[in-house]
Amino acid sequence: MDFITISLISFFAVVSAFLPPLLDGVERKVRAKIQSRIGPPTVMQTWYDLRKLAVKELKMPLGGELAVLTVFLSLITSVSSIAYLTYVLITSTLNPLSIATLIVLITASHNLTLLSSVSTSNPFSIVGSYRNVTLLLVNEFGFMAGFIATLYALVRLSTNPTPLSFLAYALGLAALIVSTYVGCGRLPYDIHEAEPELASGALIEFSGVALGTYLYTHLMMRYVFSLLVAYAISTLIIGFTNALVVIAVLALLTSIIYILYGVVAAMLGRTRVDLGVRTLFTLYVSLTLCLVVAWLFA
Amino acid sequence: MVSDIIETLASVARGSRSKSILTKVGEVCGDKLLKVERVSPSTIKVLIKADCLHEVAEVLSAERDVYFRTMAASDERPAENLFKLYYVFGIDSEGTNIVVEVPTDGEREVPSISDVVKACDWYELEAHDLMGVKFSGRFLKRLVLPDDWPEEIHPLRKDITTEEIKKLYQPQVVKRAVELGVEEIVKIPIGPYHPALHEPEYFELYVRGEKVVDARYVGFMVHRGIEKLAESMKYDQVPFLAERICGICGFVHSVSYTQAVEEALNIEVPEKTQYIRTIILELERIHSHLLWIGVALHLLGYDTGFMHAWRIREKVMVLSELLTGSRKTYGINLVGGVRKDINKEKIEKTKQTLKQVLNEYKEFVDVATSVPQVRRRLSGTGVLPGGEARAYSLVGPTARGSGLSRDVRKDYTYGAYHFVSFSIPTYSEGDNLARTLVRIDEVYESINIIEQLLDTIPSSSEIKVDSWEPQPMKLGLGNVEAPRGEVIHVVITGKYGPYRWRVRAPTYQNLQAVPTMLRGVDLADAPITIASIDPCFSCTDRAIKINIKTGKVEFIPLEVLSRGGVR
Amino acid sequence: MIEIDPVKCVGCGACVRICPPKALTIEVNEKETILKYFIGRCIFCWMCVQTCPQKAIKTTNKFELSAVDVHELQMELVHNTVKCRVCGKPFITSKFVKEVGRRLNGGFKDDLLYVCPTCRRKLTAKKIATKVTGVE
Ligand code: SF4
Ligand code: SF4
Repeated sequence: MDFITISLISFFAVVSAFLPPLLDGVERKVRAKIQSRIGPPTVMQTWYDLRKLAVKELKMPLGGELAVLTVFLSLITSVSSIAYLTYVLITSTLNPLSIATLIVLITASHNLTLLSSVSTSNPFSIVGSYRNVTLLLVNEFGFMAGFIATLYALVRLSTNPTPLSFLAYALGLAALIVSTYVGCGRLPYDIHEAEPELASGALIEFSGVALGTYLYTHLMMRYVFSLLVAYAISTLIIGFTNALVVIAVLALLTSIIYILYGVVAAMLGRTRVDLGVRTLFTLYVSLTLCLVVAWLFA
Repeated sequence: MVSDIIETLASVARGSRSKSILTKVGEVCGDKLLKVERVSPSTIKVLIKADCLHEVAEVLSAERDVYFRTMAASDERPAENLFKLYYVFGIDSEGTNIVVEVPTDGEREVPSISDVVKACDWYELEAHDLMGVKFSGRFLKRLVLPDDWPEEIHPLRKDITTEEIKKLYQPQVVKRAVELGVEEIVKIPIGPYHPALHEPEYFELYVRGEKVVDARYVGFMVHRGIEKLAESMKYDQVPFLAERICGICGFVHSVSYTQAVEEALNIEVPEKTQYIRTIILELERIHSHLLWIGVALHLLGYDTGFMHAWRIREKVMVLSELLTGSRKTYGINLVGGVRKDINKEKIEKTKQTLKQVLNEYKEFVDVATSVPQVRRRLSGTGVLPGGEARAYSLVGPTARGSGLSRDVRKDYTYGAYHFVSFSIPTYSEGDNLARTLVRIDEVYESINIIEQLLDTIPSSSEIKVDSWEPQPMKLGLGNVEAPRGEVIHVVITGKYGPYRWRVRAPTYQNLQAVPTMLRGVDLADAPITIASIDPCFSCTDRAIKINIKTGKVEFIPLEVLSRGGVR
Repeated sequence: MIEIDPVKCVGCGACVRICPPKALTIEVNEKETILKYFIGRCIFCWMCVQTCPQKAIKTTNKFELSAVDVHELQMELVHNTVKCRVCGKPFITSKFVKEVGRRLNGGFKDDLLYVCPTCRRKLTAKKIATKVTGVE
């Protein structure tokens, strides 16, 4: 790895560390507009919130030392997944090993946040976590299928572009988009928090730095998910040419996707755990079936 | 003698329905029926001995168009050395009230009728708590009063004054303070069960997995003793107190109260007053329904809908301010009239705003009801069959969502409703969606009603009767179709103010059916189901969960909860 | 909030009797009659404004009324009390007596004006009795 690659990766990692809360600020503004509200004073509000949380006192939740630990762990994994993802993108080292590593990193950071609320003593948080586990079981399946299928289709497309492999790409991308959207924990799939029903989860359990870290990690995860989709789309359009262009396009596209997800969430209500699981399951199974059929014919 | 009374029965009847029902009552009572009397055009009072109360209740509850409206216990020992119970039954199809008056000496037990009239359960418990009336044939427990209330003190009895009641509660606090050795104490009330409560209510949900198997309600955390307080106030002060019973639909209470007094004392109010009251009532319904729709959408996670519902509601609030001077608790109602006139200019302005509201509302409702999660989570959940709704004597949108077209605006008409034409939206599914649609449609009707009223409002400026003479011990009923269902007030008049004032809010009636609705719903739908009756608490909160399948009791001791999970 | 004009007010207590939440109270002691207005309880219904026979109460647009000390929310208006000439009990304000006298336009003599209602009733009864029976 040469010096330029390393500096590019670090540069993008720094940008990625700064962007998520800013994007959240933009999203809050946009959502406020949709809901005919004014919203926060500036788009930097989320950053200000985090800064404030960082200096607030930390109250340990009952039996929640483990929970706080998992929050910090998941921060580490999500940061490393961004770094690794950038590395993979810039050096285009797409191979089974790198894909597997990526999946492990992303799902790990995702599930670690989940663990944080299971380990508290609040029954409401526990109910919320179990709901989330159920949902994630289904979603993780869709995510892996979608992610692998899209990447595979991309490789195929670069060598041998046929309409059928394009269809396969589209199907994989659809699964990827839905599963990353669900993974973001946005409406209608934020059932683990479900404020008016449960009032549970990290927002209730944590305080101070722990809450700040949790929120930051959460935004990070959203960013990672958007980044994946942005990558799957951008690769098709521009291919791997200039690393700097790739990074610029990626950052832009990721931001757009992030905000778009936010806009979609503002239009929807919250699902119920059985309904949500059923919908997702049907969707993923039919998408996978179509995929299999498409590959068979390709 | 008996035949005499049966003859009188027939003569006081208002129409064929009341005639046949009264005759049946006369037959089961025989000579235990002491007196019948028509106290107002729509109210017939029947005085019976306590022994035949149960038989009368059986007769009345067997009729399909009769339902139990309210019961007032009154301490009339100063005058007659008796306690009296007034059971109010309504004949929907005729708009007639039958008031069954039962005297008791306070020692002998009155037969309980809650086995045949389900809705009467709480009324009896309340009479037992506050008035010390004893009922036989049922289990009596504390409902309203706190557990540590002294056994022998019944606050609504006339021999105890408000001041004495206040004293009764203060010393304990002071005593504690002395024990603790503090000089000055600051009371910081932290919710009845948990600081995170939106409002003081408490449901125990018994769940298996995510399914609710059964539910129990514990309430009356904030019994304020308003009825007792009003007994020490003057006629024209009570409307202001009445408006403060509810923060969302207060005007219905003040109208209900004034109507009850006006009926009892035969006060003719000017037509314009009726118009103004009705317009404000409907305005209140629009704002209340918009508020509810917003909260319901919030409970379903559709916050965008919540915001827009409240944005539209804001216009209505500004309109209320224009017409009454206040956004809420309008304070324009007095016995015999209102305090603010509606002039030409205001009529024009109101019409304009309503047109805007109508357009925006239409657009909003179309979008909101087509959100997939909203539709799917509302339909089929929290089902309440029509039969149950009838058995519980439910009122308002809750009843109309279960196919009962009960609406006191039509059935027991008041105000200026007989000058306008409007329909009563009714859905028969009985689920959360039905109750939602009833409210959504009602907003259209209300806008329509206000527009009709504004077109025909009299131009005279007579909005108040100048003076009227109170007469003691007259009975009056006042009912209003509040946004949540019927409100009914029973007033027994006194010299300067009401001698006894019994308020019955719609939630009192509807809440008793919530456990039925909750059975079988998913835990996630419990909040919206509870909210679907639009209880006077709109948000939901914590409950104790007992997991039946694993046999594990996920019971959180209060101390742990109140520590907020913080070490 | 409301403002009471100390010049116009005679301390008749009509506003106190009508005020629904008892934000206005009146205290009569040997020397003074104190009309108290506690903003904390006022619901701004303007019943007192409509009732005051002297038109002494004005409405204002002030509504940001938070205060650090609860006593800042209390306003007092002090009148002199007159004592009943017969029994010597304090009963109403001197201004009120004068105002009644002015309105009655001399219909009442001072000896009745300065007498509390209970004593006045007794006095009148005595007078009538004297008239009818001719004996004191
Ligand atoms: S009613 Fe008017 S004159 Fe009488 S005490 Fe009140 S403010 Fe003073
Ligand atoms: S405005 Fe109403 S509440 Fe306030 S002092 Fe006057 S009468 Fe009392």
